[in-house]
Amino acid sequence: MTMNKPKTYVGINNEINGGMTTIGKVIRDAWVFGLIEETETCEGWNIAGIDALLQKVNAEWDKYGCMVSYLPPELRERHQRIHDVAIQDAKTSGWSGEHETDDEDE
Amino acid sequence: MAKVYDAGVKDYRDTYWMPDYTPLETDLLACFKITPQEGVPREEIAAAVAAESSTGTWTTVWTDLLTDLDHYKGRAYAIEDVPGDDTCFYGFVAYPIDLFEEGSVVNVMTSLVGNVFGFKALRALRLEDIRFPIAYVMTCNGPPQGIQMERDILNKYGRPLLGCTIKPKLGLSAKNYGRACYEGLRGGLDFTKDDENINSQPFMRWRARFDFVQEAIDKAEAETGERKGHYLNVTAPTSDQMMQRAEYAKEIGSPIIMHDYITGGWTANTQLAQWCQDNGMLLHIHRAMHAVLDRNPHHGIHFRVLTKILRLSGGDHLHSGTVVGKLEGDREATLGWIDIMRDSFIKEDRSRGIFFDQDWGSMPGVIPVASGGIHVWHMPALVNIFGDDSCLQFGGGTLGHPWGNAAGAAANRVAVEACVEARNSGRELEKEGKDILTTAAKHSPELAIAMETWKEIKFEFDTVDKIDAAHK
Amino acid sequence: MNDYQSSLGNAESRKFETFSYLPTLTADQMRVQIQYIVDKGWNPSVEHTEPQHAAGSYWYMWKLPMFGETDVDAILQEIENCHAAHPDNHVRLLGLDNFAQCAGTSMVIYRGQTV
Repeated sequence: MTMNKPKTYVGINNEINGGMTTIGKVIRDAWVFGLIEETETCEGWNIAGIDALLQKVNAEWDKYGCMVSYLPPELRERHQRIHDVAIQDAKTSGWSGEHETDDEDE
Repeated sequence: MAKVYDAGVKDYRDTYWMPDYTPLETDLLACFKITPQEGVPREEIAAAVAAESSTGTWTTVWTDLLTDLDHYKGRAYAIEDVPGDDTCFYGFVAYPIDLFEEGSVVNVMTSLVGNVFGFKALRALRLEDIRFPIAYVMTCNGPPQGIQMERDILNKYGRPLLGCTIKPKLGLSAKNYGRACYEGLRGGLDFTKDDENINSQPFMRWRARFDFVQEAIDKAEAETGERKGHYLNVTAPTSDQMMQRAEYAKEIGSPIIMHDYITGGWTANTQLAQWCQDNGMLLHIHRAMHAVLDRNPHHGIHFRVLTKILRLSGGDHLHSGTVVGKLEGDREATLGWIDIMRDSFIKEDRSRGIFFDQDWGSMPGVIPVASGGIHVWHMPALVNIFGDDSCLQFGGGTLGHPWGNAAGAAANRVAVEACVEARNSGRELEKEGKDILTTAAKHSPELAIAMETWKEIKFEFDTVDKIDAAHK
Repeated sequence: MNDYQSSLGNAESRKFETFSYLPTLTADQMRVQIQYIVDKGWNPSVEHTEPQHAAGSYWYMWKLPMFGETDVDAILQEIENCHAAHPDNHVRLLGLDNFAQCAGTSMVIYRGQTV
């Protein structure tokens, strides 16, 4: 028996939209909060593993009201650095905000 | 010489074409854009439309001796050219108020558009506008709470409301879905919204969703000290199930629910709206399927008519189009139906496609919802066009923020407040929008990132459905 | 491991509706907003509350609404008087629209000891 759909995550480095996806954002926040190493792309993880990571990221954000501006300076600096690189990489790969809004219904 | 098409409509002219008729204050008036088969005289086809949308089909059932058809008949009283289009013309029809059951948009529309659109002598037909007489308006229940009551319930004054349609982050679990709502509300939104496709499918039944979302609202309210809501979609296969979901939403403390008024049907909508009024609930109305009816400029029902139907049937929010986004409509026409939603008296104004004066009396207004394809760079124009009594809904424009949902929400909240502050100071929003947002972004890293994420917009879209004007 | 304050315990999380996501308005910006209320023909009204009751609809009225008042300085003075009398309370200014029968706008001018 073969399945066409991969059962595991492709890894943030192999993502569509240059990594500007929901899972990509979860992984980057996990890097920011030190939940996983910044070298961890999550390639080969199953969905349960990603979901568990999401719950951990949520718990971290809850300490700061989900707001970047409430992060302590060290975390804020890491957030800025990691996400700045991600935005640049995504744009280089052709992504822009319009990808998020152009095919939208009401 | 063109062959004269025998439409079999000559008889109607004698009975239903009344150019000397002066419509009564109590008459319901309709304007149809009529595209006849070739060779049929305008007066004859207008009379046929009047007949087929009123008593024309009665004659085969009842005899003239038993019913005073002259009392109940629709009267075609005027025809006009359509500017810039020789293929069609406007026909105006007056219907006596006695033709319709009180408080029933269902009955009005069954009569007006029930049969006539399939009439053979017509190539196409579009219902452009209806004047509901104040005598009829007063028989309808209308919006459950109205704009002012909504502001008092939610403690939101002096600015547009801010919403976002929610997409779950990972999978479709109700818990992850509620989390996405929480983040948006926590970041500064007033409302989050169920997607119209989310009803109660096997992957997420309504009750679990309602519970998790309400917990999200309660948490966001406790933390921010502001009042919040989520449009819980109660659209359901039967009206009993719809009411069950509405009752539960009220029970857990949700301030607002949502209904799709065209696919869900006007009977269900009117029932739900009356219940909302009796139970202190706000009602958000989605308009799925509207484009099936209103998109073709020659055939169907114009959205301004669907707007009037909703205001009579009842709803506190109604999607209106954005004017500026991807789903852009004609600006003047959109402004026309926004006024129809909100104002108590709207004057005839052909430049905005409004064919009749419309008096709503004391019936509350509906808040227009601008949604679809809009992002932070549209904010100055949206605040300028829609004003305070509106709900601006950024879906992708919130969730697509590279930093996540809360950051996207905060960016839009800062932007809307900056635009209101600037407008109140007398600044021209659409001209100075960039400067206003840039200044606000100095204090909001979330807004700064949003402004880098989306491109500054230019108004260069052509519209699908323009107001009829001489553009030859 | 640090023991972080919960979000609920962080009074900075508390927001105050319109303009609370912007930096505190300067004196000049405040005058402009009051002028806007006057130009709209709305009746200015000053209200205040203990911060723990801020979520309610009813704050204490500071005197009656200033029906027909169009002098920005007079309105500012009443806001100052209210703040001086209740320095620990939130103070807000409303513009009451008697046609809509609803506040046309509302903004918190002074924040007390937020809880």
